[in-house]
Amino acid sequence: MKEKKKLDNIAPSDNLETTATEVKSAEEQIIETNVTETPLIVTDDTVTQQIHYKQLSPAMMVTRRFFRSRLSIVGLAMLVFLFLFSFLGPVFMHWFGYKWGETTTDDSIKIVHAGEWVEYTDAQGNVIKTYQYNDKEVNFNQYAPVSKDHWLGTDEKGMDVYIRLMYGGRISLTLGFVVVLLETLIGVILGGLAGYFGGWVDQIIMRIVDILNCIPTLPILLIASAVLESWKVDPKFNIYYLLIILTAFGWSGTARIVRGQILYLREQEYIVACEVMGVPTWRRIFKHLVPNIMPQLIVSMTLGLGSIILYESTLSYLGLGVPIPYAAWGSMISASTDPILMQNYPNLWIPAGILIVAAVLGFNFVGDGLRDAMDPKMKR
Amino acid sequence: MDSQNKQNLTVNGEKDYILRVNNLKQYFPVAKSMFGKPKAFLRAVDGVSFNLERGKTIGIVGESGCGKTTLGRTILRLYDITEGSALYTDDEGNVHELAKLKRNELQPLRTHLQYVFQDPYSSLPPRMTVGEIISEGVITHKIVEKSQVRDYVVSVMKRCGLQEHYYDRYPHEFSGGQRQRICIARALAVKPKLVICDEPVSALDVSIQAQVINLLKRLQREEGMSYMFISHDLSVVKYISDAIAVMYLGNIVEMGTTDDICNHAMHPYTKALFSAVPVANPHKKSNPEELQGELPSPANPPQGCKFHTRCKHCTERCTSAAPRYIEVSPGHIVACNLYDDESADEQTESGVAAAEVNNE
Repeated sequence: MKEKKKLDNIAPSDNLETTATEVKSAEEQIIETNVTETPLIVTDDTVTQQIHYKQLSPAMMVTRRFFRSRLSIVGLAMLVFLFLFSFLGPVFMHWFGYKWGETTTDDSIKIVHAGEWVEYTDAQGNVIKTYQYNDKEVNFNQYAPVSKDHWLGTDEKGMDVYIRLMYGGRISLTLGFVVVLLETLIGVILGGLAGYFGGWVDQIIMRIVDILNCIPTLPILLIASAVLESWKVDPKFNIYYLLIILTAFGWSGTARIVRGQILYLREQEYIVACEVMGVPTWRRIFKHLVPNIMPQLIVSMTLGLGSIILYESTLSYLGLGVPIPYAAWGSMISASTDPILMQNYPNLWIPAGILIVAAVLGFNFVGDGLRDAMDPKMKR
Repeated sequence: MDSQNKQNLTVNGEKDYILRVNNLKQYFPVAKSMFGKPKAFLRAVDGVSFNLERGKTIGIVGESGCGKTTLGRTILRLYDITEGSALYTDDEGNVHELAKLKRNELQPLRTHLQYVFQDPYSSLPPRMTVGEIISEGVITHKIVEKSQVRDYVVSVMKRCGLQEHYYDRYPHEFSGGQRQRICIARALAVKPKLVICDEPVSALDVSIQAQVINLLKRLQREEGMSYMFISHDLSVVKYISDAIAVMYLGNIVEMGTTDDICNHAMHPYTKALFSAVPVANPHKKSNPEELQGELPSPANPPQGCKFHTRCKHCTERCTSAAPRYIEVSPGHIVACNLYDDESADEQTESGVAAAEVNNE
């Protein structure tokens, strides 16, 4: 009863503008005052109400909402694991005496392939199965099984699969990040220019985007790698050309998103209000426009990371990416093109496949989580 | 209508006018030819002239789409003025021709002229705190020293009825009325001389409307600002304005003091507008002079008097001759052929028709 009365005292005095939060906090305060027995401060124009709200910045609110979703935590955990695995993994393994490196060949054992069963058909049509002896000798421990020495066995060249997975992850993740960052940078600048200034600037930039979208990326990459080969470019640098080509074709999507957002924001009254206020152009762009397109950008970046990793794997699988002997997840999977390897040595290609799936899924989960968390209209 | 527009619409030229708008036109290209040259124009503001005294309020009324908002935005140079002039006189008596200033020359005047938007929801940036929003203009124009910005902003907030602890909160936490107070505080923080209020209360509910209007009036008393108050709500305009201009399809059809317009309306359009205001008396039978039809398109306005398509007293003359501005009493100007005796003499036929209408 006492509480009720006190609440009545507050509500009308707050200029009839008592919002839901205020009522709530007022209630909280009543409970507090009941405990401490201090008189309630009634709002007035002259008396400032001493209510301390726990103020959350947007970044903190996004973080909180992000961690409320189980899927995004799973995604984040997967990504953290992959990063630790790829970047700290090799160092860690060396400390513990795992002696293989990315390109070291295990030549401790010489393998003599004694012979094999051969079938052939003679003139009468009889199938004859014989054992053919040969003394093909390999100087390294090829196709070693999973063992204490080689946790995931060795590949055709006697190189340790487990360590190569780690190094392959470095390539995939680094390439993904670099490409996405470059893409976003170019996309924001060009899309921003197109959206903010409009007119012929917009026309030129958007027509370039249209043209880029018409060109199928995969054939271009195949052609580019053929060109690189004919130019006799050091295969070591292949990856940089790959990066440039992926960026050159990737920024158009980001530019579209940014332009659309800027066009939408430019008509918003708070941007018009900036003009009335005479806020300088650079401040208008970096303080008002860019923060408001950040959510969309971050989401498209995280989702883009997954697709870049897939692209890189595809290209490595086709032999265009990182050259042998360097490791990449895609080129490790390409072992499965040989049916014998696919059937008999799943340890060569399944782990790499799992890691690719994990990376793409992880980025998508995190991207989805961020998108939900960054929606400013979402309360809670 | 040009020749009539050129005359100064207010009698007493000795007064201290903060804003003199003369034959202001704002056309927007609607159709472009193949080479980008505009073929047709939307005449949003088509020759508007009025003067605003320092420290006073002019109300601009009219139905939706008549160019009220465009007029306000044009004066602020949010669009490039097509034709005409808008002269702003600052406190020192320097006259600025707003229509001809370049963007960078406009920059120092941004503190003099401010704008309060209609929609308090979309006019506040969602990712900035209230303090950041209000202090932005203060910092941009160096209204106070950097170290005192916070204190200054808090003092402005208090004057606008916002509490100090709102400083670090975000706009989405506030109700419409409080948001509009934030908008007003933002405009006020740069110490403006003329504030253009574009339907500042039409998005708010009635109890909050009164608070915001009273806040605006109080601030005007304290700071001596001038207001250009755009609204379609006649009761609100009546309450806050010293003078009222009634707009129809890009033109001012009647202008005068609040008393002139509210109690002695002359133009058929103004009469129709006022008769449409509901009266809070269940026994009084209201008989609104309803306007028939829709507002004609400003891209293709009717010949002669623009109102003739919907006017009850339309005569033959109205369809051909654009009305002149007639001063029916000092300071009360109306653009209607019904009151234009001179042209009635010139064109006797139509004069008879007009007289007949008056007899009805």
